[in-house]
Amino acid sequence: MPNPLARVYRVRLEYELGTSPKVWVEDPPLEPRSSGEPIPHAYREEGTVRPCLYYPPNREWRPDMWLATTVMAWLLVWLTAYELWLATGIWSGGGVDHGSGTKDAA
Amino acid sequence: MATLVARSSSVELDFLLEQVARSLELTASQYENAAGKYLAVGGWLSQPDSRLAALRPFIYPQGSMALRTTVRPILALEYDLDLVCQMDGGGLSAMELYDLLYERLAANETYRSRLEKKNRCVRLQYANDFHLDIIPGTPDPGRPSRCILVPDRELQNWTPSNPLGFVTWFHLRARGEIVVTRAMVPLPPQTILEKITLAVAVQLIKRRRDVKFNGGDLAPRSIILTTLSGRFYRGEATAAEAVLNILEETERAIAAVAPRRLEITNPTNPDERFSDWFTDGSYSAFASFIRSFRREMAELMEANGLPELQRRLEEMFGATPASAAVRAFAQEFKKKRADGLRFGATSGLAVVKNRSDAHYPVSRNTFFGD
Repeated sequence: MPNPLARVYRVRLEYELGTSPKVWVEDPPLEPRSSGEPIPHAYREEGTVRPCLYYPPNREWRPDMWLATTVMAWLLVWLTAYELWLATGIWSGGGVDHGSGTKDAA
Repeated sequence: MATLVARSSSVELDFLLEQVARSLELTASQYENAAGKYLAVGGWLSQPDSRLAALRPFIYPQGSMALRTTVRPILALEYDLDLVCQMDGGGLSAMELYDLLYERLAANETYRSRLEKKNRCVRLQYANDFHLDIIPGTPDPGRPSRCILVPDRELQNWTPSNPLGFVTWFHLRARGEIVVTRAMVPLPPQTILEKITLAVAVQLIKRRRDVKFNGGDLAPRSIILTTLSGRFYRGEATAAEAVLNILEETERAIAAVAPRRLEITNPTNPDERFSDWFTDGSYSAFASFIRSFRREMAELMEANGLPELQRRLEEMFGATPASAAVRAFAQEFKKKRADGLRFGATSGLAVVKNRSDAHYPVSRNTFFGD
């Protein structure tokens, strides 16, 4: 579980040497807010939504890193921010928008 | 014995509940306003040239401001402060002591037009949603230490009380101490605790009552809820566990004496019977309130996920305190991310406090995506 107050999530991590790691949240599935706003900081591809956990230009992920303290840990933070966003409509995790390149106020 | 809750109450849930309680306290300016009036009126009553001077007035507060259990009223009613003016009544009758106090207050031009005679106090009504209730009293010659007699206008006679004893008892119970003797003032604690778990528990119980009864007549009196809390508190470290256990013990005690009513008296003056206030209707409302709140607390401690938690907090304590609590959690989260989050293998991130099982650091990252 991402933090003691959060739900328990089942996730899938895919990683092969030479590619960048990808994570999917399998259960419970990620959902938008009832007001319809899309989930922030998520990739939409092939009909699925998956968390976007790092900013490639910053080289935050490198193949020599431990998955546990990077990708999995960022997933815990992302899920905590996601639950807060579901509850309040405000994203507290900081981050950069695709395309705009401008940083969210953290 | 208390029932075991399958999911233990976390530091994070305690944080949320504490924020709920904190958001309901008097604002700083409300507190300052009350404190200023307390000093001014206390000063007027204890002036050496007044008619009261020969009776050696001794002024002290009672009620939620003295106990640190204030909760803003739900219907935007006024807030208040109780001030006890204890005097050496000597040979005076109850009504004579009451009138003496009233006359001293009326002798002040600022106060004269704001005075109202109530059953056991003189009310000083201020313009800005605040009133001060001044309670006359005299040391009780027939009862030990700080017991007093208070004039009761309906009875046209004295009624027993012990506000100073009660406040001391409550502060001792908050530290998990059993009062061994009534005649002793305890050693102050080594550190002044920022948060007093028992006081937070009382605030939550009072607020749940306010939301449930919405200011109606059947609402159980605060002194009753406060006394039960002090009685059954067993030094639990979190407010959630404290509230749950207090409610469970109360439910048990109600069932144990049924069909008679539970007797709730001032632990430092058993002749001050708070439960005399109950009617059949309000007692049964009280019993059912305790039962349903206990169930709600158990469910709250089992809740999964922040959205569900917020929903439950909102239902129980109201929308404003619930969202204030979740906002405060989000603030802690952002602050921790900037400072450096840590996490543990089974329970994830330590958002509120660094837990001993949170060994692993989270590397720096920036969320991306559209």
